[in-house]
Amino acid sequence: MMSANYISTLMLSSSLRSSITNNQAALSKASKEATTSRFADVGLELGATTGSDLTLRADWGFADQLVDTNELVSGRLDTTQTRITQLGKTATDFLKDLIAARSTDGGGRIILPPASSNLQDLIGALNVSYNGSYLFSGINTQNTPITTYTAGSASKNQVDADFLAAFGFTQSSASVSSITATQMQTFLNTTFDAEFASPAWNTNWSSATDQVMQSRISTTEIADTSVSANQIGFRRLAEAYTMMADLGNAKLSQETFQVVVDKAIGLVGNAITDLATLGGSVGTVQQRITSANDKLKAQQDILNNQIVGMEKVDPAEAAVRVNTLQTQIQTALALTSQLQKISLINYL
Amino acid sequence: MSLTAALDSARASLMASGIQSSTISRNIAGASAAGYSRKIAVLDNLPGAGVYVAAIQRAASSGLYNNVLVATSSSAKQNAIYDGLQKIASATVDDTELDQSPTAQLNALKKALQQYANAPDNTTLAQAAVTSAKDMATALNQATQTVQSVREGADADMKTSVQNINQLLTQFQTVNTEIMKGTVSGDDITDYLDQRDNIVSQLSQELGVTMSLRPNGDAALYTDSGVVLFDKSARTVSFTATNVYTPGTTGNAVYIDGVPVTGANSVMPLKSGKLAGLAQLRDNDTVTYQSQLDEVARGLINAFKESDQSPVPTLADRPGLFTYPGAPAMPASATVSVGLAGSITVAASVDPALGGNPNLLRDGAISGNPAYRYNTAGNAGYSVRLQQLIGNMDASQPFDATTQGKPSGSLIDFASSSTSWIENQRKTADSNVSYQKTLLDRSTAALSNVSGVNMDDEMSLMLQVERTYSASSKIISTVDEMLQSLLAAVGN
Repeated sequence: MMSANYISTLMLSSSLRSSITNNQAALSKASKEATTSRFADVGLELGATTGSDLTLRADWGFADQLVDTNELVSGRLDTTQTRITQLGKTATDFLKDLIAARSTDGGGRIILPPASSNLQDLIGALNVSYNGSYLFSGINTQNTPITTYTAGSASKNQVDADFLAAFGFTQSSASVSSITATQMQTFLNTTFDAEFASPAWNTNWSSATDQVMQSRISTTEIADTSVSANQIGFRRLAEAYTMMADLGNAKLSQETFQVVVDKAIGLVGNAITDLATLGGSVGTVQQRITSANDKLKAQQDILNNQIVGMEKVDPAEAAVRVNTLQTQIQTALALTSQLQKISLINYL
Repeated sequence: MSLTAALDSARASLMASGIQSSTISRNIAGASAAGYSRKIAVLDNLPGAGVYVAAIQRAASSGLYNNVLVATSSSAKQNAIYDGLQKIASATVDDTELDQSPTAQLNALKKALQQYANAPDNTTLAQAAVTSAKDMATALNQATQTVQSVREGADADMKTSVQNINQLLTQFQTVNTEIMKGTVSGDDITDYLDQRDNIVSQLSQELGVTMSLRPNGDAALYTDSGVVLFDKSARTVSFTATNVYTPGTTGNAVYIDGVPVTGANSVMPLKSGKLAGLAQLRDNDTVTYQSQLDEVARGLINAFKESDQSPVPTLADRPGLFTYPGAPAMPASATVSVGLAGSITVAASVDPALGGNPNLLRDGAISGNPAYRYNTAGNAGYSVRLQQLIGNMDASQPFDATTQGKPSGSLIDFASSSTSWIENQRKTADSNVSYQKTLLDRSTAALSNVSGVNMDDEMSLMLQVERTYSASSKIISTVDEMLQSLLAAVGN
């Protein structure tokens, strides 16, 4: 009969009431979004794409972690590189001294102090530790890689024993002068060489492993990030320094001494090349880390943009929504009191 | 004699006006009560005797009323589901920014491993990695607890709901009997009808219900699936609550008159109402999410498993960092191992808090058997195993497809797909809630506009009745005067 135009008093008041509560809920959401610029309830808003959001965040976090750990690796490699460069420089200087000493009278005596100090220097350099682990130890990072070369140490004992076995007297003996060039040549090329090759090197000189530290420098790349003291360059240097320092060179005949010096010149020359190569490969890894970091940072930017893009609410839009909702609520409140006034009772 | 007839008419009019004004005042009293339907005094004429109130009717629309019932039930169902999912989502995912989700926890573990792998001789980093692994296991354990407590909550709510239904059905029976009696004797039953509608409205909160009317004012109630709730007498709704839930627990079904209406075995399952929502939450949604958590746990055990490192491997793989009560056997591949997320732990041999050695994470042989040792030389800088573990976390592995997560992918991908699943369920429930709520608001408004009271209308009706009353009174006094003058004339 009158349903089309009829409205119950209950509906008249409650429709405004429910519009006020709805708008207030929307207002609290909009004001949160306006201040944070993110969805008030990200999961509810994204629904089935929440997982992608989480994966992006995880990728971002891991990239961040890689950049962090690459810092440490870079530090390790920087120290390694410095040491190698220094050793190369010392070796070059020593090479000059050797060439000079070769034809000098009493060259053996002259070359002795730099040789023994260089040997200590080499051992010291290879025993350097960084952040609690020995850099040149391969993966045996908790032990000093190179045994010191002093009286009683395994390396010195073995050299002494070899010398005694080959010539029948010690390095300090006066009979050293009787060693012929051929005898010395044979000794150096066989017994003495073997001392600086595996397995004797690993027994008497070094506890480092050939296997070196490996680090993940990007999400997919794993690189060798340390250098082992067992590298041929270090062994050649150790051999050259030892032979110039501890084979009783001062007393050798000039001819025999020249055999020793010639051998040493050859070793040091090769070692310099070896160290340069080694420095080059360390540099390559350093370069890889730098470019990996650049890539990671670029990736982080992209990921960050994606995350923000997924979760972002335009703060200006949210602020406009806050204003609109405020107006709506105010209007609804004003209308409620207006509606209270338009009752027939007021006119009877 | 016509003057007497006029007097009678006026008297009848006064009587009718009285009833009319009493109806109006009933209407005004009920104006702000939801569910009150407007009463109308129907006037009729009796030849020679004037006007009388033939009946009191109520303004009602059974079509709109049914719409309200359906909307109420659907809305209640979606609300129940949304509330449960909301609890789970806020406990296991929360804001993505807070890194609470299983995905974020897995990534935290991966980050800790990466740090450790970079400095494998650093025991502090080893401890940090183990702590991160423990956090991961704890997060899965807690998520399991949350899911199961939501199931317990749903079960308890179902019990309350069933009690409510039984109580409402008893009330319905009482009111229905009154209506039948009143219909036969011709009494005013409109208030009882309101009351009966109210009871059914309340019932529709609990379960989908339809009411069919019979002769003599009788009514029968059916669930939306067609099971009889009330026909001449109330049927018993029964439910045995289960107080403690573990992932393997299957909740009891709700029975109406011996017929199961929820659960896998029901032939006529409830389609709407709070009860249907709670049953879906308890038996489907939470169970699926739990199975996803279980798969994350199984994926973890699988990613951190140890293999025989002998030159000629003969032994089967064993759980490593993450273990479970079924160790040393590995959980079956790509199959949900029910409740694994609740029982996964970090192996005691690695946990420094339990006297374990965190460096075993690097060296292997966590299970205790030296054949599984990866770092055979015992080098402190050995990182191969740790790099392998990071690789395993990223490697694709198969997952049980019944969990509705990603069937194949990395552990992190699967965990993300699980989050996507629960958030999508929540989003769907939320949009259903707001849709059903709008529908309910519209239906309620439409019904109220048909059957409700408009005060202004009642007031103007009151004025009309007042006028009729004073006119009738005037007629009586006029007739009285006329009779008086007649009597005076006769008396002279």
